[in-house]
Amino acid sequence: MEAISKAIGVVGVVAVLLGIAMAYIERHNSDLNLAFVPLIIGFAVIFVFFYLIEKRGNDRYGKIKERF
Amino acid sequence: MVDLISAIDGMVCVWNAYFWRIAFVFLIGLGIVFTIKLKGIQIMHLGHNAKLALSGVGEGKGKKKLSSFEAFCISMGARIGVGNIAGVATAIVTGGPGAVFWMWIFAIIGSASSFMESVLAQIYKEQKTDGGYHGGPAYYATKGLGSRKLGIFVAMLLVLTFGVGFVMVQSCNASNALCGAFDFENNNIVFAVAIAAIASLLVFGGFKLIGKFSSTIVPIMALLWIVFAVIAMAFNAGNIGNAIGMIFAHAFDLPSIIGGGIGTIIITGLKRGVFSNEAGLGSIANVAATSDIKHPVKQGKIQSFGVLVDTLLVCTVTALVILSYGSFDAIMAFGDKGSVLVQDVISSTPLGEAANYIIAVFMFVFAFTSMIGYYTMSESNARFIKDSKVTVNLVRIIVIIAALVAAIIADVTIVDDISDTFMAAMASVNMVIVALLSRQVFEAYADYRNQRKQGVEEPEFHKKTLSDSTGVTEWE
Repeated sequence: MEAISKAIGVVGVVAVLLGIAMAYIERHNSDLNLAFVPLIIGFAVIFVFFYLIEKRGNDRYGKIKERF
Repeated sequence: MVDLISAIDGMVCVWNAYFWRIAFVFLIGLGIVFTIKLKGIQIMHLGHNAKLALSGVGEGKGKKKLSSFEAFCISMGARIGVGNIAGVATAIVTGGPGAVFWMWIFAIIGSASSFMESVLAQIYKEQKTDGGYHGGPAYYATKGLGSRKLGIFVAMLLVLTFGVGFVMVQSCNASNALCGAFDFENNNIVFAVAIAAIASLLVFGGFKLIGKFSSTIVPIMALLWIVFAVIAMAFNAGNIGNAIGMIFAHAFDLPSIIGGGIGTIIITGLKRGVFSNEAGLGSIANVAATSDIKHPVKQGKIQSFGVLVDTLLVCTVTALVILSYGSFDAIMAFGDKGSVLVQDVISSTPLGEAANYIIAVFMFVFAFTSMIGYYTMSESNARFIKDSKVTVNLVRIIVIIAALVAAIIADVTIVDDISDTFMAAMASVNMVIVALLSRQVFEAYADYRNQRKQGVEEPEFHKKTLSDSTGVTEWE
């Protein structure tokens, strides 16, 4: 498997773990604001996840011609 | 019995919390990414999307395939249901009036996801021996990602989400609405048996005919619901400004009567919004695949418009009916949620007790038309796993048992928890698959845009447009 495909898998798993962390903090901690930390990191990880998917496509087939 | 139900609910509640936080990251995170990548197609092209949704009336006539307008009506039939009435009431009671604000936000984000999944469903659709097109998450996972195992897993998840979870919610709310209208001893048992009996008749015979009927009747019923709700709202017209004010005022804090934090409001808005508009769940993709159109992007645009109609229009009308009753404390004083709360509120207007019966009729029709849609989707996905009579009969029995059990339990909270857990799992898996196949959607969209820029009024799609058309069997 290509290194980038492995990285996509790893980042996806990290996103899942951050969701779990958010739920865990909410259930076991009265400070709800703390639960937003994994959520915000989770969103950042999703951006990385998507960036890697896009990069893999661009590396294989080139950039999509039309920019919109 | 009560202890057993409480124990099950306790367990499901934990799973629900964990699954939804994962789904939250994927649904919203990827929804935002898709919105950015598509440059806000759902809002920027709103007029064009609406025109497309309503202009395909003459397409596909005389064929077994559906026109894009018919597919739009069927998908609206699947979307508009109990979630637009009971779901909104539950959202307000559990997440406060601010949950409605988050339903709006997530509908706008979700309509980009709906665009993505619908275009994918079209690209990877497949014509079967019956002459019609079939598709959806199980198909694009199998054909696009080349994994039959993943396709089967997704199909199983879809059967559980819609054939069990969503059927339970519909049945429970229909039973509650009937019990609210016709009060007698053991009425929930009587209505549970009646609902299960009707569900049996529908799934073991004649559902296809009724399915066609429901795709016609539901848009009409949805319009009638809006008219009925507006009439109900007119009796409290003086409070509408206050109702809108409450939605914004409580978008970031819960009324003290409920307690909890902003997480509760946001998650409630997301859950009830997704339950209603089904964006990112893969269900609409199943319907989107059935239409016979010239370009996949057209169906994507139509379905993204459908999400907005469902939530920004139909759900908002219901929310305003409830919130225009008066203060939030007064609404909570009813001590009800779901369809019963809507009955409480509307029957307090000069419409009186008649409102209970009218709402019971709406709930009954919506619940059954949605159940038919969910059953059809479940059967189609069960056939994807193994096309045999045994598989189909197994799904039929599962659907009937789910409807019976939910109507007997008659507890919206428990049934919502079970349904939400399946929904979260389905949404997470579907969104990841959509992201992995997103390049195909962006290429199709670039092709559509290029053709439009060149002055082509009705762009046509060919699979050679895609840099990787492996698994694409139509669009030669």
